[in-house]
Amino acid sequence: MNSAAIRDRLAVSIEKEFYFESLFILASLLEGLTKKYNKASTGSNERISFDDSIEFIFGKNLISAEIYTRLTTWRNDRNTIVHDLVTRTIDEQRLQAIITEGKELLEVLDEVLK
Amino acid sequence: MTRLTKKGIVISSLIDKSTLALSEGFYLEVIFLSHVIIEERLKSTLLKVYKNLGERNKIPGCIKKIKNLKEDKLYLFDVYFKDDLLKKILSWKKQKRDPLIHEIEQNYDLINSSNELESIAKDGNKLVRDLSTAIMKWKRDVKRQKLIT
Repeated sequence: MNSAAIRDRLAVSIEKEFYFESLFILASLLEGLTKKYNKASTGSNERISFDDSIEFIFGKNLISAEIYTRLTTWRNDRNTIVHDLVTRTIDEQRLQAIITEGKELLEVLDEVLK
Repeated sequence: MTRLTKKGIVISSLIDKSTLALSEGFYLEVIFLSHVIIEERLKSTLLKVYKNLGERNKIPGCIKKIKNLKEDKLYLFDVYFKDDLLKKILSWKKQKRDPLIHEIEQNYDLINSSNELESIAKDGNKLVRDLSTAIMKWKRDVKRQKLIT
C-alpha cells in the first residue's frame, strides 16, 4: 500500500464515521511526513519525537508560526484523545473538528515538504 | 453487569464502537480504541490503591507499578494480574501498535495486509476482555477483603 492508498483509507474511515481510525491515520501521516523530512535533511537515523520534528521544520522556516501553533495544538488534541479520552468529554462534533483540522494540516505539509 | 459511573458508560460505548469497527473491518479503529481502553483500565485500577498516581502514567508505567505491587504481594495484585497477561499487553503495544502509529510509512505493507491487521486488532480486543475480567475479579475480592474501599 502506498501513501495514496492510505489516504483513500482515511477518506473511507471519515465517510463511514470511524473517526478514531481517521485520527490514527492522520497522526501517522503527519508524524511520518515531518520525521521523514528531518531524517532526509540530517541524514540521521536517530529516533526523534513528533514534537522535535515539528520544531525542526519550523526552525527551517518551512512553516509559519500559525501553522506551527496549529500543528502543536493538533498534536496535543490527539494526545488528549489517546491518553484521556475516557475522562475528558470529547464529543463527536469535537472529534470531527480535529479530523478536519488534521486534514488541512496534512495538505499544508504535503505542499511544503514535497 | 450494569455500569453506573459516567466513566463506565463511556468505556462501554467505546467497547461497542470497537466491536462494530471489528465487524466492519476498520482494524485501525479497533487498535486505537483497545489501546485507549487498556490504558484507562490500568490507570483506574492503580488509582484505587495509589492516592497520587500522577498524570504521566501510560501503559508501560502502569504495568511497572503493577509488577511492583505483585512483587510486594500488596492488594492481591499477585493473585489476579498474571505475568503472562501483562507481558502480552506490553508486547502488543510496543511491537504491534506503536510501530503502526509512529512509523506508518514503514508499515504500508502491514496496513495493506488486512489479515495481519485483523490479527493485531483481534489481539487488542482480546487483551481488553482479558484485562477487564482480571480487574473485575480483583475488584470483587479486594473489596470483599476490605483491602480497598
